Amino acid sequence: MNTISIRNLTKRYGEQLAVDALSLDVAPGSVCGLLGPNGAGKSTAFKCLLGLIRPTAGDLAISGAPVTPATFETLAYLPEKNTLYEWMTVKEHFELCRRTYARFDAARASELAALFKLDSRKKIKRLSKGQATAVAIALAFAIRPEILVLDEPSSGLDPIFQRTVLDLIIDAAAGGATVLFSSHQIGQVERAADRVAVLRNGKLVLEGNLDTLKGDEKIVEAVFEMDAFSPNGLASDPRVRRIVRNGRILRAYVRSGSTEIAAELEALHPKSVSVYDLTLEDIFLGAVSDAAPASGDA
Amino acid sequence: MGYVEYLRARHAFTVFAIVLTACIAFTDFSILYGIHNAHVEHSSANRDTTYTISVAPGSKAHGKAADDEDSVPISLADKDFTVPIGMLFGVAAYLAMVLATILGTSLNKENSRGGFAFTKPISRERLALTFIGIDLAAIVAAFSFTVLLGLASLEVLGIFGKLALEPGAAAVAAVGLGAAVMWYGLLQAATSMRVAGGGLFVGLSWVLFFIMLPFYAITFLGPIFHGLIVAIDFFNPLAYFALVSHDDIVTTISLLGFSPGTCIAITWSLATAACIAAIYGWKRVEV
Amino acid sequence: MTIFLIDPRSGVPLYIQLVDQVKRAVALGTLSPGEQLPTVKALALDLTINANTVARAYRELERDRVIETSPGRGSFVRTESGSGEVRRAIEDVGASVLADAVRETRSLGIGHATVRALFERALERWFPGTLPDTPPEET
Repeated sequence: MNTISIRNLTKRYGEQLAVDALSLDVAPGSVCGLLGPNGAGKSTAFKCLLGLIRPTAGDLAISGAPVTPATFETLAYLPEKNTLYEWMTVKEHFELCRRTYARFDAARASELAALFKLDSRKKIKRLSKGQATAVAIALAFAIRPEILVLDEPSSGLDPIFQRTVLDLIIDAAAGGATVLFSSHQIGQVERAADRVAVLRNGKLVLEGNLDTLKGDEKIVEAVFEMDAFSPNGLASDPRVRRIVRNGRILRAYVRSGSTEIAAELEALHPKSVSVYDLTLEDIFLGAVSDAAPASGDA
Repeated sequence: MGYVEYLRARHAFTVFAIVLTACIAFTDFSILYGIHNAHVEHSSANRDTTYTISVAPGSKAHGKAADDEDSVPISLADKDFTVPIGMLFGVAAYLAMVLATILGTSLNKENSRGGFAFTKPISRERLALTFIGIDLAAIVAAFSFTVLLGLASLEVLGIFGKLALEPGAAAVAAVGLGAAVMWYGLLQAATSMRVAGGGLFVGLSWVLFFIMLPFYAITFLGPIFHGLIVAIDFFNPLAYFALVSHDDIVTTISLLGFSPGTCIAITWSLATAACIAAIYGWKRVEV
Repeated sequence: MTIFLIDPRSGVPLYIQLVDQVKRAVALGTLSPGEQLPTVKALALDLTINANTVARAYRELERDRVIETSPGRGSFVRTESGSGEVRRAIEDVGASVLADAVRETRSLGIGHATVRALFERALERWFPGTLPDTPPEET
């Protein structure tokens, strides 16, 4: 049973589809990084999952059941916008969580406060944006959650604290927690996640195990003696995302089967055939770029 | 999670209490200072004369010469008057209304927090009830505090003995508090489903409820207009609670002519219904 | 200091990088036979990468018979009795690197004989004096 199960989630605002038939599962102990441009629907999807927004359609479940207040005993949510009480101090926030959660671990909370160098007597409005995020993160992890839903957990944090957050996520997941987080920091996703999902205009355009994706998504490039051409049927091959031609160079962006496709291109006797790796950033940008045609001239 | 509202209400009450205490203390000590420093020179020809000085608009202090003194001590206590406790209850109720409107957007305030309160292991209904309970306790506390402060004030001024516990006073308290919680409930109902801008409704409610009082007297615009005003005033807490003093007895009257008992029933019922509506709306709000 | 260097930004899957790093360490002796490897969780935190990725690498290494895992005790580099497997695994890595190099060189349009000549020049550079009839260096 998947810890987080999203099936055909759709959220419509008038004519706009903020989320379009999204289906995503996160298995127990897995860390899923959700990538997407601004406005792609990541935050909306999280809010639908947690009952903050009513979906237009779709089935949502956490540990096999719909979300109830009891779900939040072991689920920590970090919203995108800082939502702490500006007029309360850090210490009062910790006290609030101590009273609200049965699993609140005061020792852990102190540890985290020290880790983020927080002055517990300060009011939230006196903290910088990064410090306020740090408080929210400390509160989230202090309850020793089994499930974490984090919307841009590193926003406003300096690189040192970003690494701290990564360590917290990796540590929690290694201890069995399930994590679903969205981030604009591709580097974070590359480290902490084992699965990646890419959202664009509310639709899921890419999803899979991160290592497998990196192993499968490649550029196969062929340089010809004269004008490049592609073999019949390559453009419509389901393994090929798109083909780009420029003069004597042909590049096929493939989602799998790079070796076989390289061999197919070899059969055309070009001057050379090479296979190039793609970073996650390349893969992401390729998945969200505008209306990439199946084949065309660059 | 109720801890948040506890802190918020406690803070509001504290400010309320400090400001009120400061005002009352200033007033009382001004009066006492005035009395203390007031003396009248007299000669033996003026014995048996009662001197009267004004210490504040409408209140006077009196004194009579003693045999071998050069000056006349003045105190408030000599004249024969009573302080009806209903007046105290009435003032306390109006002040409690101020606090009630400050706290009336407590549910609304949670709606611009990205769901902080809604992603906790407590249901929205239970949380709303906790918030409302805390707020009502604060309103009652504000009322009680004002009454106690008033009593202390009487004692400080030396006129505690003038306090009269007339029978209608309890009704004054009940209607006054009823109006306060009704106002609170209406604000909750109006703002619990909104994501922002609760403060605007608080301000509007003060304006609206006050304006609707004199509007009741407008008859020249015809019966339909008047009927509309009546309908609005049915939901106006200030229409149920106006203090009148007669023969040193203080009672309340209502704009629409209801008896105090009816006012109590209506205000508290509307308060309850409004709170229920507020909770229902809060359950359904999307943040 | 972490003994393994991996680059999450690279297009090479992380678990493959880690597998190669472990094999390399064993080949170079920085990991001795019988030596215990860090736990999955400890290594994940040390390298700041996902623990499942580390676990996958460990499974690969076990499949390639470079390490062995006993439940409750941990993962260890195979002892001498298995070192033949390790050497074979390392040779696999070397073979794949060389194959990639030949492919890359060929893709530049260089012919078979020139590739071989270039290869022998490289050999001489890194294994000096091992080849007979080494042609003099051209300036």
